[in-house]
Amino acid sequence: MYAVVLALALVIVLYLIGRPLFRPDWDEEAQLLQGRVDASEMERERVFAALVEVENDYQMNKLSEADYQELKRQYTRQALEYLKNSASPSPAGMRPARRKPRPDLKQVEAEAEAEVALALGAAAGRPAAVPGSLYCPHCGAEMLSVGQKFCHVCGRPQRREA
Amino acid sequence: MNLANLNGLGTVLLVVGFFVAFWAVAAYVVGLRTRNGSLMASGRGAVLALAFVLTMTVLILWGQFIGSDFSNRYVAEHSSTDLSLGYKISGLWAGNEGSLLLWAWLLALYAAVVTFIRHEEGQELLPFVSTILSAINLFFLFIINFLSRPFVALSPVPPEGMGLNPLLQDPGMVIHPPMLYLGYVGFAVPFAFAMASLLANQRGGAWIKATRRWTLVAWLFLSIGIIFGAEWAYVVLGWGGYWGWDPVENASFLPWLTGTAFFHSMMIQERRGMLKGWNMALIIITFMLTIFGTYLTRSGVVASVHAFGDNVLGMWFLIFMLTSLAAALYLIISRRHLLREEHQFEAVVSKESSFLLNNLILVGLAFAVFFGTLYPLTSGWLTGNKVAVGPEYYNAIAAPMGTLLILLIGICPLIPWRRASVRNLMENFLYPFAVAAVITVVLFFAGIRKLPALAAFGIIAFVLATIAMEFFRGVRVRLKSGGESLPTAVWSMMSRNRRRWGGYTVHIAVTLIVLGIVGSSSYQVSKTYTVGIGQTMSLGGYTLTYKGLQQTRQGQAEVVLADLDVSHGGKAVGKLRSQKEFYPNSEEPTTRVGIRGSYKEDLYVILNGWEQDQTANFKLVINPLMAWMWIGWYILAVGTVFAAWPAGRAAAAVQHQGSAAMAQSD
Repeated sequence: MYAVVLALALVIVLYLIGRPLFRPDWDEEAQLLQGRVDASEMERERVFAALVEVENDYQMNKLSEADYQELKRQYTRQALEYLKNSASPSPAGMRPARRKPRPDLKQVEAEAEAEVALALGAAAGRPAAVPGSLYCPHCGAEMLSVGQKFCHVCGRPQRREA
Repeated sequence: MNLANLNGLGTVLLVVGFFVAFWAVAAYVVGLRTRNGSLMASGRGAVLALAFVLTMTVLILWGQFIGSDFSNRYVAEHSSTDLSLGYKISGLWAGNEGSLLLWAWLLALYAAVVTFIRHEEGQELLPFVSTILSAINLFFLFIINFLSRPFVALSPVPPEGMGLNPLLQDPGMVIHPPMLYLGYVGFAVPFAFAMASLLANQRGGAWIKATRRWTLVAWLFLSIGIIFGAEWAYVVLGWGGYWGWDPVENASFLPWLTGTAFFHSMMIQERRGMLKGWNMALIIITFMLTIFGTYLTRSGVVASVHAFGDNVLGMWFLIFMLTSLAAALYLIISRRHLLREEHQFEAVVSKESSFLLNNLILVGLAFAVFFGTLYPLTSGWLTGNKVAVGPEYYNAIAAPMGTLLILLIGICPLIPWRRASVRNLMENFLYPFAVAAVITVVLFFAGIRKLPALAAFGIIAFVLATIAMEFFRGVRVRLKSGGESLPTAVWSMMSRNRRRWGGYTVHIAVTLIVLGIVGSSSYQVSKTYTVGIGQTMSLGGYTLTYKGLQQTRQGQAEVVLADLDVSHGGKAVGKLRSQKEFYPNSEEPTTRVGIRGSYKEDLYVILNGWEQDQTANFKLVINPLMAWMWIGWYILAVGTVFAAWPAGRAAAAVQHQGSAAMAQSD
């Protein structure tokens, strides 16, 4: 009986080891080596994570106002860059099958700002704070009107000056 | 080889396992060199096949233990028919051969899980990782097949086994060794990822991100293993107390210390691209220390209550350890350009520098413990006399370094990355410092006059106050934003940043453990009494009335029980029982203490001996604050699970804090 058990075990072992060898088209592993995560996507995530962390540290009184403003400005700029780049058309030779219309730069910037504000809102645990929306992107206070230029709670501007 | 019995089947399966592991390594190496996907996929299949084969062998050995099949020498030496099921199952790791099989099996399972689950980062490293894990397992399979075989047939078959070592007959035996092994073996995974990143010429920190959770899992198992061992040694005399600085205890503590240092310093690499070489060194040292523990247990180079002692095996482990170390160092040196730092420290007072200090203390403590553990060996080489260092040596080092470490637990979380301003330090430390000062003064006037203990309690208060302040600030920020109830705010704050809040929970746990250690070591009182039936003993407000001895049989053991009535402040609070167990396969009896525990203190009663007329000798001990040590360890486990638990999408974004963003900001 034990010989049968051993034979069955050997069949399973040989199947697991041998099956890929008899399928020459097996390139899953080789793809694995090349299939690295898109670096720019990772960079983008990191910048957003850093933004969130800066906001957290500031709210938890771990950063001075000056450091907070400086770091936030730097990361926001980087985040906007990544967002704009990701919205721009693919490089030559890498065009997608269907060509999309080139997005309007202002529209991209508005979307980017919205996403940055969303990340900051998530850091502070408040509702999505989109400029021009019903919440202040800085303190999360509810706006009195959609077109309000300055927050009535923290006094900070609600839109960047062009 | 006789396939008519389970020993033959087990032996053949182990040989198959050896060749499968060899194939896994060979297929991956050739596949990686030639970019042959089929070969690599075959290697992947071999990793799964090895887990399958070793699971079968373990099941066979367990089957032999449960069925008391004494035709297997290993089973006959570590089991008997009258053992309970739990101890029969524990027989697998009661001796050398079985514990090595357990190691190989767990490593095969880890390798299979690592190879087949999808990693968000470091996925491209998996072929290298699987190769390294299989190569490590090849060594263990070599040992199991040629030097320490668990399926040796006995002829004639003895009618009864020799039973389990009496010192091992404790519920702790069911959990403590496998948890330690899961911890030891688990550190092979981050080690393999680290080596893989060098082999793959990766400059980034993908391996750090890929192994964060694996490191926590290994560290958690190691922590659980250590705590169960400590609890076991606390209730059964002969192991040297909950922590006796025994060489093999130290061997489990060493990778715990360096592992702790590693998952703190890995955060600096993730955030700032710094300490790359240091992190590599730390995980190599941690992995080597897990092998060192195995070497220590099996080589017999130092005397230990835990050791198996086998010089030949020890030599092989030493060879493996040195070869692995040489290979790892070669990789580090030859690929040192990959480990170039992206940043330098910007300020003396910053989170980075406080983490580095934490690392230096942890590694320094590990070195001191390592030095003390091997002192009998080095002194033997140098002077010809083997001299062992006692607990005094370790305590003299661990107390100040531990105190500094606890202080850093309070300081680190409040300091920002890059640099801290004076104003920031003032605002963040004022309240915790004030709380600590007030508590220290109160404790002083309450009668705590021993300076080291008072300082330790003050520091513990400071740490708890800093964490409480962080907690309230975080909750307040969320509540201010509106729209959340208090419980929701607390949960969403914690679940959005599991690493941070899991870490804080672990920090709370560590302070509680220290509270227990300081309380029980600084304010322990004891007294020895010889009393007749009906006579009383008293200590620290407790009065114990001796009610006499009973003799009974529990499994293999003849047990002598002493019954005591306990009262406190004149009020009856319960009964207590202390006992000695006599096993047929041991000359020395096992002493199991009687404990009456509370959050304030443990009343600990040892039955030393007795006379014909039932006059008995007892040692009474009061261990203040002991319960907090155990509570602390369990909170530590909860905090680690919380930190390691996969985060939701929003939380993942918060936790996904890399170095690149910080890098570009400079």
